[in-house]
Amino acid sequence: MRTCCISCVCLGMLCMMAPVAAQDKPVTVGIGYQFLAFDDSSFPLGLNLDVGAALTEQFALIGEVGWSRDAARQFGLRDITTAFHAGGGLRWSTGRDRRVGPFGQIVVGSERDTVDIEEFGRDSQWKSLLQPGAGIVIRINRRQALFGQVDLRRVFHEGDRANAVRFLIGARFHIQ
Amino acid sequence: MDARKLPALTAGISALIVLGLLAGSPTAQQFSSWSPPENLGGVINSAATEQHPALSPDGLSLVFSSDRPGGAGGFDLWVARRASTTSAWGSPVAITALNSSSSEFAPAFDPTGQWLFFGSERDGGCGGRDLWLSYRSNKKDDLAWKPPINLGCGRLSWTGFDDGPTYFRDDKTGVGVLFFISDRPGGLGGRDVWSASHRDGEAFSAPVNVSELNSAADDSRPAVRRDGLEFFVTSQRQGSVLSGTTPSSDLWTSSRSSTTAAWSTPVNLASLNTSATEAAPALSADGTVMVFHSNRPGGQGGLDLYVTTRTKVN
Repeated sequence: MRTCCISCVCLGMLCMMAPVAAQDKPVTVGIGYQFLAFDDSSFPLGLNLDVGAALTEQFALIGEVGWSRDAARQFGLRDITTAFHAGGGLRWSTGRDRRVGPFGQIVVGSERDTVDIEEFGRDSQWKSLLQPGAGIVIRINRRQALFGQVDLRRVFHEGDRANAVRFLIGARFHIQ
Repeated sequence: MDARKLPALTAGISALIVLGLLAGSPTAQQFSSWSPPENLGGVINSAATEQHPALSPDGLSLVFSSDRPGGAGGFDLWVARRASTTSAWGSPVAITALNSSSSEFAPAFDPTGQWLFFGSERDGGCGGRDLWLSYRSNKKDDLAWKPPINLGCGRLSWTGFDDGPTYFRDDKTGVGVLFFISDRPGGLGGRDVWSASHRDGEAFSAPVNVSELNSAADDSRPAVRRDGLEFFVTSQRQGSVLSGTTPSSDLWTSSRSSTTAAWSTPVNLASLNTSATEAAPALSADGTVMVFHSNRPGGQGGLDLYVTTRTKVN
């Protein structure tokens, strides 16, 4: 719960900072499809929304929320797992002048995993999350871009760790 | 390409393929012999009966069935925990979420540690003793099990006796197999080992008698190694250590070369058996630790839990 609160506060601060930064710096909003692959499970259905507020030409504060879902069966019982995450961090990218450019980012936050198994009901757990990643952005024009990125998501809970690879593709919009 | 180089190239590629196949082929695990069994001591054992142990995949939880005071009635499931696999066990606690006023027996984890199979005579079953299944989302919480469900009348459970589950999953094929004990029709005599398999996401198939592991005598509480290549079964078949003039309950072992091959003829684990009862083996995930119950002399009373170990030699 503590990590959840910290993440929400971080995300809230980032959202509040975005309009402030937008007064003279670009603000971006990105939306994309994400695929999460853990060692023992994968989430083929997922969405991610991020907001970035430029600090300098190359660095931006970012906040993101995402949701993934996997439906499977265990011992013949329907098993639906969802993973919601929220976090904030820093993104580095090349300037807006280049048509194609790399970027890297790191996000810290929380992930809430919910498991809903037929006949056993639903259980949820908050976990801490650290997610470094990198990608490429292809600028269509001054306001629109496409991007693809790969992140290594590391999730921590009561001494246990799990690693996932996140693949994310989407579109990013400069709203100023 | 120079035609004279073709045979050499072909030979080179063939050698690489053979090397690759050799590197990728599974090697049967080899173990030392089992150490002399040791009583798990007064923290785990009591003057009551402790039986049917199960080790969690991380080796930090020991679940067993006991009729000691403090349970919900009859035999109940209890759990002891330790900080590391070399630490001493803590005091057992009743698993209230799984226990009923009836009896619970023979717990067995799946490889994830989040699912627990066990036998129970509680209400809501098919009659006699049935197989039940529970789930926990946090595998470090030994008490937070969900209310168990019956594994299905007419499928895994029948009106008679079903108990002693042990489960393994073949990671290469995605096929899981649940072995259990039943006295249903179609066996070789008394209680026999049966198995039901399933592919990932599917329900269990109809059970089949694992005839190569069974005898005309009672064959009971088994344990399968994590890789599905080694099997331990409790049996009073001919060849068990005699108690007077009748075979006692002994531990027997069998193996196979692959998860689709037939099991070898079971062999008596003579170094572990006595004329007393030795039964209900439970293996650690790496196959180097076995816990079982026995009423051999020197215990705390009733059936006690004992541990024996071995080491990997390759």
